Amino acid sequence: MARMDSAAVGLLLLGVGILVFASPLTTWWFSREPPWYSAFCIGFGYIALVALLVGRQRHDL
Amino acid sequence: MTFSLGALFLSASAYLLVLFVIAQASEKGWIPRALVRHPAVYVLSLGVYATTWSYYGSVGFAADSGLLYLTIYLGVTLAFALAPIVLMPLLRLTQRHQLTSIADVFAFRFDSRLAGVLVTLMLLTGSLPYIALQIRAVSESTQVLSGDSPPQVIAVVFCLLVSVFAIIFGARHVSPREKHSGLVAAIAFESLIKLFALVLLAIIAIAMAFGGWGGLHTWLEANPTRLDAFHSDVGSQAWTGLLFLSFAAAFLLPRQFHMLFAENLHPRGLRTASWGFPLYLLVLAMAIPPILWAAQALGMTTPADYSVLGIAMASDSAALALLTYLGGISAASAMIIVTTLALSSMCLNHLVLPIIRVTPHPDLYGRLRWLRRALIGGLIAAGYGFYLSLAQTEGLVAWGLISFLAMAQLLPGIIALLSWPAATRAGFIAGLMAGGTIWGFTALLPALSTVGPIHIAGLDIATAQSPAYFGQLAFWTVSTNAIVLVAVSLLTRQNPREYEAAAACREVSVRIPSGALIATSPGEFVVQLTPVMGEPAARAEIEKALNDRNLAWSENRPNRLQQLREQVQSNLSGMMGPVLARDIVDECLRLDVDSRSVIAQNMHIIEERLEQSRNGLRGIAAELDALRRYHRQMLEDLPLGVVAISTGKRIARWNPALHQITGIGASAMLGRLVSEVPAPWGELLEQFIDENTSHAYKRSLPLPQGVRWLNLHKTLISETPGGSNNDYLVLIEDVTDGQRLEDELAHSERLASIGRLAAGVAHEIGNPITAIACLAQELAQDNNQQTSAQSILEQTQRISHIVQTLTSYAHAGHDATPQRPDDIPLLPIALEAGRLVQLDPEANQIEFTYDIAKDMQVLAAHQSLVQVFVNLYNNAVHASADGGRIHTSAKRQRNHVQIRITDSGHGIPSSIRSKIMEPFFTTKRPGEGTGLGLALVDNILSHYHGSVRLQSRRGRGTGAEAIIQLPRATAKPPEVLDA
Repeated sequence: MARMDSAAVGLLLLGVGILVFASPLTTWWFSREPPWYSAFCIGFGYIALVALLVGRQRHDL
Repeated sequence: MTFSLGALFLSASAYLLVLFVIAQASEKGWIPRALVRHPAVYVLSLGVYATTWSYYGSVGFAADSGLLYLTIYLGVTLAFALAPIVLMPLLRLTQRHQLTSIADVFAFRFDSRLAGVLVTLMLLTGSLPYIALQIRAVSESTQVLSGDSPPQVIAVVFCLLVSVFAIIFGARHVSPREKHSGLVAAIAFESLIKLFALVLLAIIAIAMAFGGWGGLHTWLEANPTRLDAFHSDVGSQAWTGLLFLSFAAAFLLPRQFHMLFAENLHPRGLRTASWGFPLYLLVLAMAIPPILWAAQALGMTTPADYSVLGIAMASDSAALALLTYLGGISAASAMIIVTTLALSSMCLNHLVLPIIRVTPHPDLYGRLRWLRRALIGGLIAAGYGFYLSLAQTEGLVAWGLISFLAMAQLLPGIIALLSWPAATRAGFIAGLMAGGTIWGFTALLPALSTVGPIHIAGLDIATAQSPAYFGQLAFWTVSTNAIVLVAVSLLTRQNPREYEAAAACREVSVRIPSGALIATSPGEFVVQLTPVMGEPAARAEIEKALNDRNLAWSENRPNRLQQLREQVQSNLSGMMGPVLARDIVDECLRLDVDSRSVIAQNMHIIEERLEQSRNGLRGIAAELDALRRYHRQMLEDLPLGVVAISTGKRIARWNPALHQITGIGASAMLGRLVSEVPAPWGELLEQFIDENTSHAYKRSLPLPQGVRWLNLHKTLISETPGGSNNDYLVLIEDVTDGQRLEDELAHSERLASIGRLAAGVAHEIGNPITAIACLAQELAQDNNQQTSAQSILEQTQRISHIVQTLTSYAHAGHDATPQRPDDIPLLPIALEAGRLVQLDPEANQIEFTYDIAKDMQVLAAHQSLVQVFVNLYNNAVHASADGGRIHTSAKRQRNHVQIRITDSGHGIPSSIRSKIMEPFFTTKRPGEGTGLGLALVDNILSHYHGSVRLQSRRGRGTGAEAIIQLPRATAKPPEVLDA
């Protein structure tokens, strides 16, 4: 996978974060009475994505 | 199960002592440095976010609002996911300009003391009740465990201990560059305790209430309303609002900002934190639902906010109860310590110092330290005062959200700081005041009010302080704030300093010194700073800045002194805030704005700034920068040495070609006086600048490596057409090689003339010699004179032979075209060359010996080969001392003949071995040798498919040997025949 620049990574993660945590998709998913731990599983998945994308960034100070 | 107050007091005190030991061990190096500086420790230290609100209050929050409590963690996850575009730029900004708090950041960005004051007051107002909340949680948790009335003494002692800890380990240094590793390690340890206690409690709660994981699921299936209630608020307005509030709080809360930026050791720590810290919080949050449901299943009567303690007590394990209690102590103490540290720094920089002003003091640093320590004590005391007044109010969550809402008012400013350079000071202040006022009236005031109800728009806001209410407030306050910020910014204009600060925040540094420094040395900096800071502090600051910039006290280059001035300002900013630091530097380290040499003096700084800001330039600025680079590159790539000399004879440019000519690099010369340029270059430049002439040709310059010849040109640099500022541009052209070539050609011409003369003389000598030979033959017929006549004949023959050889050698040089190769005997050629060389008196004392078979033939041209031998013999003679020996041997090797000429001279030094075949390379003094001999040999031999190599003599003795390879006469290559 080609290395993305910081802005692209940030915006991608923000977009995915909003979609997963604060969109109609979130409301729909939780209206289907998922297991109680599903919110945490989604959280872990999102954090893994952050680790994958931000970890690839090598731009420091 | 209950505990005595004494036991709880001792436990809490012992735990805080453990923190002291950890902090001390980290600072003293008893804990390995690699561990203390590990990114994991940094990530755990960010766990200060989880206060007693998270530790105790999350269960109560979940009981009231279900999964809504998770937004307090998910908002942080979203904020840290934006690390590359939000946190990293902020980290770079704070580290570059040594900004220690969010108030410093805004004061710097908007170049406004008022902005710093307002932000400090806002954060102070939002944080003090939050500190009070922690004290209350400690007090109430003690009450829950002891079953006694609120134990005030525990609260007082707790406040005293955290004050002492914060003062000792958090206010040790006055500069943000010196990190408090002990504090970070202790806070990280506290985060571990919180996590361990809560996760362990969740596991025990599941086992105790449900008999295991499966039991929990069975209970949830049996009680579907619990799960429905748990998910009911997901996606609601409150959900989005709280997500937004915690997003802002993740890095704007004073304690978060302090740990994230002020105590950051390396950016890689922040990269790890972007996923590590949300992971920590998610694990912490995952422990909450099982504890909540266990408490419900067990039918506990403990308030939901303290279900954590209730479960621990129900387990009948004193150890678990104490661990849980200490987890709460951890959460409260960490929050109070770090928050007061951050607030004390803000209060000192923006409230206290502007009022008391910095005055000369024998120990300024000590004074600042004690001021900060007093502020820490004062803040914790104020928190305790709040605690006493808030003791009767309900709920941990409300105060946490009030604090978060205060932090959210800074979010529009942060967005403007990072991405809207046109935002103005007036816009930011107006926006903050608008949002802050709504926050104060709708969130803070009702919470503080003991009278009620308070009606606004028909709503009793004193009783409506639910998460949904704060979600709505988040929208109204922040959107009002943002709209006012944008509107006022569009209606107002930035001043130049504000514009400059805005550019610096975008990492586009347009800050270029507006004048020439009056001070001419670091010593003068000290003198100028002394009236404000006192001599010891002024000297210490200059020493520190010199070390930061790797400069010496003897430094006098204006551009370096400008950098020193900026470093001093940056260092003072870390100590006193950016506005005061700038005021001090502007007031003390003054600039002469009228100086005519400002641009030349600061050229280096301007170029550095433009290089740093390259990516941030857009439009016409970017095009101008590209043009500047092109012009500069023209000067840099010019094959002539270029030196620009400003008024005052300081060097403003020194290009790479000049580096090559002089061997002196630009970095060592820029900003120096011409007189400081190492000899003899400095004298040459000074002398030439002072001369009336604009051009000087073939000026000789004696250097240790030999004389160099230079052409010099100079011109005045005009600022405007027709005007000038007395800056000079000097071009230096090294014409040494050309001059040397001319000398060699003249020398060769002289030699050629002598050769022609010698050939003429030889020809003229031939006639008398022939006559003498005839007379000697006649004389030989006389028996009495036969012996003498025979001797005369032999001597005349010898003279004739010498003359013939000389004549033929001279004639051979006239024909430039290579001679056709032929089978030629080698021995006569070697002998002939030997005889020629021995005509030189220098060769008289050298013995020539030959070991060449008479029938040995090579494929070459006679005269050319003689030339080869003569050149090699000449070199051998020059290298040999009197009595030396030059031996020539030859042997056949397949299709070649290998000729070896060995001398007994000094050999070939390794330093010149690689250069001896190069044209014009000579070890002889100028005028004594052309440096073309060996090059000519190589050229001739390559024409006949031969080769030559020179090496030091192997085996015994010193000396050198030349090894020639030539084709054998019987091995004519066809192309040679065709040539």
